[in-house]
Amino acid sequence: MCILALTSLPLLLLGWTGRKTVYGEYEFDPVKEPGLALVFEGIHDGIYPWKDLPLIGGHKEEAATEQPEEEVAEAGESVTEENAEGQMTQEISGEDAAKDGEKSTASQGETKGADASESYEEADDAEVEKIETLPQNAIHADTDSIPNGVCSPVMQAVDYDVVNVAFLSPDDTEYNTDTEGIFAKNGIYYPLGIVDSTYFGDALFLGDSRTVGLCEYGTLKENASFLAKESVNVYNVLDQELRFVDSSGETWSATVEEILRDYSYGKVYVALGVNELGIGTTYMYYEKYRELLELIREYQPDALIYIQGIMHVSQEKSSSDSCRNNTVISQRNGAISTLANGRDIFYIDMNPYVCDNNGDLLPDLSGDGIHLKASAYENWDRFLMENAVVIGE
Amino acid sequence: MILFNSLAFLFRFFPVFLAIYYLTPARFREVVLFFGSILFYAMGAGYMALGLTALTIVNYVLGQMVFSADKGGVKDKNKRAFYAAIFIDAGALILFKALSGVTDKVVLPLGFSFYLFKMISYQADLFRGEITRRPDILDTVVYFTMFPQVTQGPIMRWNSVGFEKRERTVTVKAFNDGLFFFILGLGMKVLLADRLSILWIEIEKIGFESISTPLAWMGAVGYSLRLYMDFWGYSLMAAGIGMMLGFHFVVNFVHPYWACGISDFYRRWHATLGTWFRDYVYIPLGGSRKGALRTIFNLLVVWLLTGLWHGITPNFLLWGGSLALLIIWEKFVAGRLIDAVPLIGHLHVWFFIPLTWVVFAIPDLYAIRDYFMRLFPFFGGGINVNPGDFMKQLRIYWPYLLSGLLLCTPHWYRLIVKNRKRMAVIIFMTAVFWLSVYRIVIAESNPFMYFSF
Repeated sequence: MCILALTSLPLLLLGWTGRKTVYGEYEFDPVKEPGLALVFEGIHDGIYPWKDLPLIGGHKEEAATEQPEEEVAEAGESVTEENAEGQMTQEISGEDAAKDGEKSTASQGETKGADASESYEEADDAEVEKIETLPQNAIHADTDSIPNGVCSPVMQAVDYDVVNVAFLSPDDTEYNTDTEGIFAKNGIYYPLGIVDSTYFGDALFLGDSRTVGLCEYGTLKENASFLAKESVNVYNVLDQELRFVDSSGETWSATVEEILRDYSYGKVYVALGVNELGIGTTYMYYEKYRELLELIREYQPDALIYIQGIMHVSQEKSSSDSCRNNTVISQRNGAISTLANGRDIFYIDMNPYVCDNNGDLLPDLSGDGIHLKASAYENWDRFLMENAVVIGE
Repeated sequence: MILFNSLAFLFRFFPVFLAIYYLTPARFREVVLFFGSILFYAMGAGYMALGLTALTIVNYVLGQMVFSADKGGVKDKNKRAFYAAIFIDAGALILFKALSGVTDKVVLPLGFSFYLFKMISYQADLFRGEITRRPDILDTVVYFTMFPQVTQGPIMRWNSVGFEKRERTVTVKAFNDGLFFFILGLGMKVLLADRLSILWIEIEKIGFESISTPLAWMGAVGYSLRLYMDFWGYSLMAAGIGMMLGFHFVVNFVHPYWACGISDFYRRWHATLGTWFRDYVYIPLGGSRKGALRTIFNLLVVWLLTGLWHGITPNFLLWGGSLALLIIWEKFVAGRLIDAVPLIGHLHVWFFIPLTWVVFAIPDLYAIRDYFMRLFPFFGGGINVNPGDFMKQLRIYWPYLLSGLLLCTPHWYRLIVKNRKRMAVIIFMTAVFWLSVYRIVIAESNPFMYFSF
């Protein structure tokens, strides 16, 4: 008893003194939980009490204040750059974009510490407005490196009528028609077509536990490489080692950057989004996703990048979970689908292959409502083989 | 329902309650306990606390009419009151069970049936004259409502926990022992059971038709251990809290996986539930004294009822039915063999019990079939099986499986209980406590990250 009391004292003390500083980002309700809960939460996230000591501390606050300015500047830059090149399909003045940048970073800061489910709802309305004015070609502005004229349809994120359409298709974003003359230099169009498994010989699949399942239970492992791990999301995928499985079945641990640096791929398939459903806002997710794509592009200048829309969850799951539901998933898919450019970055959405008409994952295909069952991965395989872009023939 | 393994209980409700409880003179502690219990229940179940209070009062009033010891012999009046009480209690139990089965929502708040079990046993004990002193209202309401036994029992008996004695005094030794058992239970629940439950989710995720046979067995063993750690852990926490409040330790689990035979297993597993069914169903039906056929019938009734009590999906009937058959088989056929060669009894437990838990775990009968096809792959079956799945899961879950298996033997538990005053064990328990708190914090602050995909 005494020992328990003795050990809890310093923890309580740390929690209470740090509740405004080190642990300022956490939600804390002193009526329901003790101060020491914060210390444990911090340890889990790699934040230690001594972080705030004067010697080491101070970085955090600086970083926090610097960030908004940087991002505003970035947003402004990218917009004006593109305007200059005449590629923008939208009219956005630098001022507007800067305002948007401010708005978004402000909301980012506000929502970080708040309860995840609340935060996304709060940010909802604001986001819809914001995304509408996003620069469309921010990912890959360098037109010269685009492979021979490709103009394939970018799939629409399937929203099953549950999400604001304005969010999914910002004004003037009509990929199918508007791309003529911009991307298709030689007039050749490459629609999504059917390929066999050899297509995936130079493909890398990057993702979370769902991609782990695809690797373990799908048929593509004979040809493709996989870099995946349970519980990764767009926020942490670059900070840790994932399991890498190459086409011969050899397996080792590696970070995303290591693999992208050491190997060259013709296609990179990304499937991330289910673990972060409870974290941050759609806008933050979109931003992080974009940073990831930029990184991939930096190391793999010639690869086709496939953004795989987040697979929906079962009706049971969706109706019982304030974060992991299909409305949020559709919304996020709508956001990341705008990252596709129809030239070398494509958005593909497998939900029609595995969902019913309401957009709920078919219960027969899933044991837990979130993952495909081992016996159902063939649907994913089939989808990938029937929705591939073939370039440069 | 607020759970013992929650921050709100560990760091808010319980310390405050204990402080008030100890500062109150011993004579009035039962009043504190009553109000604390109602508050505890209301915090989790809201308006159901009203229903509980109503049932408590009804049972007290009827119980006063049932009580006959000081009037010499049972009269018709006592009988009528007894039947009325049983009708109300059993009716409430059946009604809520049926409702929760039909509506697919949890109408029955967790632990409600334990109250009703206690009430039925209270009336029966009064009726049979096993309670010798006329119970007063305070004793009765505290007995019914005391919060340590809300969610999973144990089903405390009136005579077994010292309700005869009025003053609740707590010695430092009893407090320390109570704390020890509470932390032990907390560790089992949070550090082992909750971890092992993720293994089962992994298996569901793959789909039963696609797991390898070794993984199917690992799943069965893991689920068996998880149930054990869950129930036993919770019972230990409840018993520990009881000790801290001045009650006797209530034994609910006696190393069931060390049992010699299935019937022995159920004398040791959730013992207060088993003896409840024995004393208030099996024996009133005639037990084993009315010939072999009647015994078989009585066993079937008891076990089908036990199954139904757990839930009204068909798998629970199958579960209860198969246990009845196993117990009948042991009683009439294998019994002598087990007496002669105890190992056969142990093997019975280790082989059959995990299989019955698989039936217990899976509501859908076709899914049960799929699982058994993977446990016994002689008839084919198995779609897209990855033979590497066993090693993958074993690498993750071996510490929890191993700890659970060690706790199945009586030796480790006894060793740690015997040495609980030693410094090494105290330090160990402190570590267990803080590790558990760590897990709870992570689970509560991140409910959606609890299972990572």
